Amino acid sequence: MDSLDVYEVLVKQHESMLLAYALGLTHDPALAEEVVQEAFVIGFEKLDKLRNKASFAAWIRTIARNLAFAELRRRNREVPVDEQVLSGMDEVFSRFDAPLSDETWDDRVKVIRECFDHLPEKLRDVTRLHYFEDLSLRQITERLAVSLDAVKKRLERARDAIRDCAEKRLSLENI
Amino acid sequence: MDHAPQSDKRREGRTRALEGLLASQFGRRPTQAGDKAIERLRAMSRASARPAPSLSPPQDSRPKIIAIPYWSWMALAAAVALMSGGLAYWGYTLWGTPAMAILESAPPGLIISREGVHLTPQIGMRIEEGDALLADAKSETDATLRFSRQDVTVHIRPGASLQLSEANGFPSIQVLRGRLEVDASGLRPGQYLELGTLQAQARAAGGRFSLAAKLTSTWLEVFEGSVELRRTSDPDAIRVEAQCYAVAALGLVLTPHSLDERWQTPYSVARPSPKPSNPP
Repeated sequence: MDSLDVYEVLVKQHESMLLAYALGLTHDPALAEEVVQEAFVIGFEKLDKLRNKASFAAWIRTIARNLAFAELRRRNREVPVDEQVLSGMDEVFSRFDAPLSDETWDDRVKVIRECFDHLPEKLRDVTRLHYFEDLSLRQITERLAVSLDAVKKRLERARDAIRDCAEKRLSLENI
Repeated sequence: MDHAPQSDKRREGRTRALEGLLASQFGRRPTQAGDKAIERLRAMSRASARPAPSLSPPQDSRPKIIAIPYWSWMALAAAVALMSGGLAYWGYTLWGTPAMAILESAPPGLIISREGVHLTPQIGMRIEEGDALLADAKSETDATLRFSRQDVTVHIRPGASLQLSEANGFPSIQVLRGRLEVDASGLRPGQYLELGTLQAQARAAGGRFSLAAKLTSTWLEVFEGSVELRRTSDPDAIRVEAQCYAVAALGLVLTPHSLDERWQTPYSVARPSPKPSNPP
């Protein structure tokens, strides 16, 4: 088994996490996939610089973050560089970095799914259309026959509700 | 200056994280980004394999030289060298199969790898199917390959990496990274040259063009003639005409643009996005 075979195991363990992180940064599924792919390639090339193998998750997220920012700047799009915003993202992801011995990624993030399932129906619908079916806000207004303002408000309430639920479940509220 | 409280910013960060988790979890195909990364790393590993130990034969297995006048040997060697050099230039050998390409220029730092063995680059050497070339990023000049049977010249820019193969009897170049500049104006009717990257494939039946394999995209610039370009993710192809360029990348519309516009942002969104990009 060569070093690439070993690295492939690390990649498989972390690719879902890294995709979620890249999606949070870019809000662009195609770009997020590219960022994840490039981050893993660069990660292998720089693996000797990683001092503590246990911190691979946080380290590969840093590489992905830098790649995402560079690409967003190149496309003249908003870049979430505020340190506190990034710190907030890291709080959530660091909760998933230390799994129990036989937990899968799905096990660890099921709290998010449960928070989503507890949303009221109207908020759940708009969340599903935006995040799962990649519809734009305008397309959602046409699908649900409601105003753009209503769609924006429902999305904002859904995000707040999931965040509040996840903060309680993940004990983030006191950080 | 942004005076939002720190707690609001951290909440915004948590919200972004949860949005990413939601978007990645539900109703989506499993990501293939990890598999593609490993595939690329394996291709790069094959192209830059370590050199093998010396293959010099032991002293006692060398054949004995027949005792004939020294000047006869020199004349024979000169004649063979002249004939071989001439035939090699045109892509043929005195024995065996014709070379796929000939190395016309070999800048310092150029690496040529054949079946895991590093070869010493020399001008005029045969480059065969399966050979991989890596041009040193710090080099100040290009490496040059000449495909004699097709009358095609390929300039390999510093930092570029490629592997040669053959498709349907015609040369095919897999560009792993970096930029190539190609003069395919010598191709005869019915001949073509194929180039591939991770994002795209290009097919030229002539002309002059450049192809660059970047981190997340492939850039094709056509100076003369026309080149067919398609993304590996879908079967549709476009034809990029002279003085035009196109960019192949996930999430971008594959369409040609004028070379005059190439310093502006070329991106257009392939599918709806909440925040469309604004070109400068």
